[in-house]
Amino acid sequence: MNERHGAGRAFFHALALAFAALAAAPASAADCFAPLAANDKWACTVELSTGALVPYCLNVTSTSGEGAERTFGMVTSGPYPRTCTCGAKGRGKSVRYNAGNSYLCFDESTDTAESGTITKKKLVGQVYNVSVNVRGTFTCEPDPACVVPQP
Amino acid sequence: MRALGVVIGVALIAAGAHAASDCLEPLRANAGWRCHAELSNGQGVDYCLEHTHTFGADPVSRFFKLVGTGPHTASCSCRAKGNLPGAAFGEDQTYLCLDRATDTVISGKTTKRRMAGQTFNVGANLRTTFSCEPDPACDVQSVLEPDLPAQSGFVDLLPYAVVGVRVTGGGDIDIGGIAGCGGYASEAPNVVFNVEPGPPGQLEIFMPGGDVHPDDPVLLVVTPSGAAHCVPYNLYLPLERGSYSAWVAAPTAGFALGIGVQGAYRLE
Repeated sequence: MNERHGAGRAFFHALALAFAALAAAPASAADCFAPLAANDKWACTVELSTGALVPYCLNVTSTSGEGAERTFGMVTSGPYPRTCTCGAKGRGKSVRYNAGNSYLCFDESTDTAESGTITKKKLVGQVYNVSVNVRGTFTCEPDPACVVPQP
Repeated sequence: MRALGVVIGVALIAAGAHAASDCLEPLRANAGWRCHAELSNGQGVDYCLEHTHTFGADPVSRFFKLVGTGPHTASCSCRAKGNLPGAAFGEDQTYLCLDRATDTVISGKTTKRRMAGQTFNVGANLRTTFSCEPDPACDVQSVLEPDLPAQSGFVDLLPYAVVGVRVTGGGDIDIGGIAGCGGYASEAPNVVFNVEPGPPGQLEIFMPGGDVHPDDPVLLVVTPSGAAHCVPYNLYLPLERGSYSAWVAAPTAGFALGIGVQGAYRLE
C-alpha cells in the first residue's frame, strides 16, 4: 500500500515538474527573428501539394522598424522575396506583437501567404499560393553555404 | 488509482486530438461568427465573419472563402497535418488565408466553439490577434464571387479574335464599395474570359453599344491578379495569364439587363 502511495507521489511530482518546464519554456524563448539574426542563410525542402519535393535556399535580406512595427525581408531561390513579421505572444489586452517564435509572411510577387515557427536550429512552416492554388509544407536548417542567387 | 485516472485522461485527450476535424467542419456547422480583434496600433475592433463558399472537394486542392465586415474577402486553405514527406494537405484544424485586396495574411485555428488567430497587413504594416465565436445573427454584406461558375459561360480567348456572349446583367449585390463602381450585380460573374499567354500584350473587354444603352450598364472586371476595374462600357488592361471575371451591373437592385459582352487581346 505504502509502495503504491509512493509511486503515486512520484508520478505527480514528475507530472508537476513536466508542467513547470512546459510553462517556463515559452517565457524564456526568443522571438522568431533571433535565430535569423544568428543564421541568415538556411537550406530548406518543401513538399508541394502537387507531390513534388523541392530543395531551395532561404536568406534573410533586411529588417525595418522596431518593436511591434518591425518587419523583415526574406528571399527564397527563384528569387521570391517576401515581407515578414514575428507573430504575437499572449492574448487579449496583454498581447505582445512581434514577440512570438511564430511568423507570418506575404510574397507579393506570387500572392503567397506563409506561416511558420523559427527556433535556433529549425524553421518550419507552410505556404499557400492563392493565384495557382498550391500549398506547401517546408522545413529548413541553418546552412551558411546556401545562398540565393540574385538576378 | 488516481494516477491511472490521470493517464487515462491524457490518453483520451490524445485520442480526441487524433479524431479532430479539419478547419472547415466548424465553419460549415456555423456560417456566421462574431469576432473581436486587437490591433497592433492599440485599437480594438468588433466585426462579423462568414464562411461563404467552398471550392473543390479534395482537401489537397480545396479552398474556401471567408468574408468579414467591410466587406473583406479572404481565400483560405486548411493547413497540412503531419510532417513532410507525406503531409496530409488541407486536413488540419489550422488554416492560412490571403486577402488579396489588402495584402493581408491570416493564420488561425478553428474549433467547434472558437476561431482564433493572427493577421499581418503588409501594406499598412499592421498586425492583429483575433478571436471569434459562433453567432448566426452576425451577418456580413454579400460580395461578388469571381470563383463561382460564370452564368453565361467560360470563354477561351485567342489572339486578335473578338469573342462575345450575351449576358443578363444586374442583381442584388451593391458594388458601390468597389472604387469607381456603382450599381448592382449578381454574385457569380456573367462571363469569364480565359487568356493563356502572359504579358506583354493588351486585353480589351467591352459592351458593344453600351454607351447608348438606355439602362446605363456598368462593366466590372476582376483580373487574374485580383484587381477590380469598373468602366462605363469599354476596358483596356495589360495582359495577364489567367481568368478575367466580368459582370454587368444595373443601376437598380434586382433589375435584369440583357446585353452583349465581348473580349479580345493582342500580343506585343
